Parts: sequence; structure tokens; C-alpha cells
Amino acid sequence: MVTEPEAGPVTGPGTAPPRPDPGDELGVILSQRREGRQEIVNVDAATIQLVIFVIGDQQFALPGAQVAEILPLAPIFPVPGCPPAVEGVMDVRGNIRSVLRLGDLLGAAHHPLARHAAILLGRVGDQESGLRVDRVVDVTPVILESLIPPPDQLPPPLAGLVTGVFQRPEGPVLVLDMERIFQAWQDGRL
Amino acid sequence: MKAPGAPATPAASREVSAAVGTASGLDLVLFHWGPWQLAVPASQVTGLGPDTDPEAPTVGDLLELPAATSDGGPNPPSLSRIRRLGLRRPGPGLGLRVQEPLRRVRLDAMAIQPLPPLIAARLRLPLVRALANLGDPAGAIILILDFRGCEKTSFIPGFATPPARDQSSP
Repeated sequence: MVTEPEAGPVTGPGTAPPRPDPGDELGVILSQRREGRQEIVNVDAATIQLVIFVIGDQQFALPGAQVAEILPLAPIFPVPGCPPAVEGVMDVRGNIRSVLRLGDLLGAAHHPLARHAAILLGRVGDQESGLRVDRVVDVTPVILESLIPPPDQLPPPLAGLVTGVFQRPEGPVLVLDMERIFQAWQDGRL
Repeated sequence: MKAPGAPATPAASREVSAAVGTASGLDLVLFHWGPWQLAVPASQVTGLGPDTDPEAPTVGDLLELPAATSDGGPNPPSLSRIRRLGLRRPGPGLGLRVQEPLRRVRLDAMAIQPLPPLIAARLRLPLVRALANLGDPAGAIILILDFRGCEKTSFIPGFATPPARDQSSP
């Protein structure tokens, strides 16, 4: 009689799979995969789509609903008489849009311009503007419950703009709100 | 290029006057200053002449742009000749030094766009009124200037009326 290969117990809800022996590398990997899969299939948790990006050494995020496009660096034309944070204007398929250095608004120093740099085309209502960032890291859903309120000790430029914080292996991510950024800019607070 | 202020034939004059300022498009005089491509509505141009007064204001002075040189500046020397552009505005006219090449173009109304709101909210120079994409070179954006309010917004010694003093300030 041929015996069935060990398929492992069919685990139902609430039944934890056996912990692998630490020396069983394959078992550890399979366990990690199982845990990762459990996170993915947890579809009932409310999530928010976030565009995660880096300015200098700090990670930030913006709601995906407020980012119309992620654009590669393109020719930007300076406009005289603007605050230094305004990099200029660019053409987006026939529409002329402003481009601001987001780091200048947030008090975060940009890395030197590199090929990874990108422009987030922010959209709030009928207003659009490009925001230059150093690198886009990910576009991913984040479980709302994993967001914690912003700390009280955030420096002034960030204090009114950060709506939450969550952790990634690379460090904390400050979640921003595009509407607050646009409004603060137009009010002259940035 | 024909000088924008040069006398035109009656027929041509009628044609231009009908075209300028209509909703379908706008006649513009294009010029340069360093790497910037600039334009002014042709209706505000009164003439084009040689650069005879090196002390006259440049468009760079008005827009606080870096100096553009005719020898090794941002443009090749052949593109950097300075001309004097006569401009109509409230009060005395303005002779503005600009860089060649100059040309007159007609832009479709759809090609002319307002300043993006985040720029309009913080711009210190009301002279900059609109933007347009000429499509040459690829994607190049020009700044459209409007000198109708120049008297109030800019003070150039000898060329503009000094701004009125704020009576409430000490």
C-alpha cells in the first residue's frame, strides 16, 4: 500500500500550525510563508492604499487616492518670483502643472537628484501639483489599525501635516495628507 | 522677423486687430532671457529696435532673473543678441532689453494655460500671467508676461512710475 505523503494537518480557524524545529530551515520558511499568507488573506481588515516614498533618510506616505500618478523626472521649467520650494512647472500630457520639492515643505533635506527621483502628481479636488520625492518605495495597502496617531513632538512643518505613523522594517513611516499640504502652502504656512 | 511695431498694410492691420485678443487665440511676441523663453501679447508691443542704451532695464531685471551674458552665457552667442522691445503699458511706455531670437506666433487659446494654483497663490511677480507649451523644443514651456499692470507692480528707475507709498506705513 502506498502511503500518502505527509500533507500536514488541515488547520482550521483557530488551529495554529505546529512550530517548526529551528534547525529545520525548510520548515521555518514554510512557516513564514504560511504566516505571510494569513496576512494576505485577511481581507476583512480595513485598509488604506498608501504610496510610500523616501525623502533624505525619512520615509513618508500619502494616500493613494490623493496621488493621481507617479511620474518619472521630466524637464522642469523654473518660474521666477516663486518661493524656493517651487522647482518650476512641467508638462503632463498637455497640462502644465507646478512641481514643488516636498522635502523643502516638510523640513526634510532631499538627497542629490538621482535617477530614482520621482514626481508624485497630487490631486485634491480640482487642484493638481507635482511633488518631488527622492524615491518611491512601494504602493501598498496598509491595515488602518496599524496606523498610530502622530507623536506630539513632531517639528512644526510636520505637526499639522502628518495624520498617522506606521512601522515598516526600514523604520517608521509618516503618513501625510495632501489636502493639508496644499492648504498650508496656499495659506503661506509652508 | 518683422518688427512687431512696424507699419502694416491696412489689410494686414485689420487681420491682426481682429485676431488679437479673440477667444480663439492670441498673438504673442516671443523672446528670450538666458534659458527662459518669454512672451508678451503682441497687442502690448509698440516696436522693436537696436539695443542703444545699456543702462535700460532688462526683462531679467523685472523678473529678478540671473544675468544673461552674450559671451558664454546660457545661450550660444549667436542667440544672445540684445534688442530693445517697446512695450505699451499704463503711463509712459517701456523699453525693455530682451535677447534674440524674437518671433511672432499665434497660439491657440487651448495652448495658453493659467498659472497652476499653487504657484499663483505664492507668486511675487504679477507680471507673470500665464504659461504655454509651444511644443518646440519638446515640451518647452514659455512664460507669458502681461505689462498692463506694470506701472503698479514694478519700479525701474527712469522707466516706470515709482510705486505709490503706503500712507498707513510710518
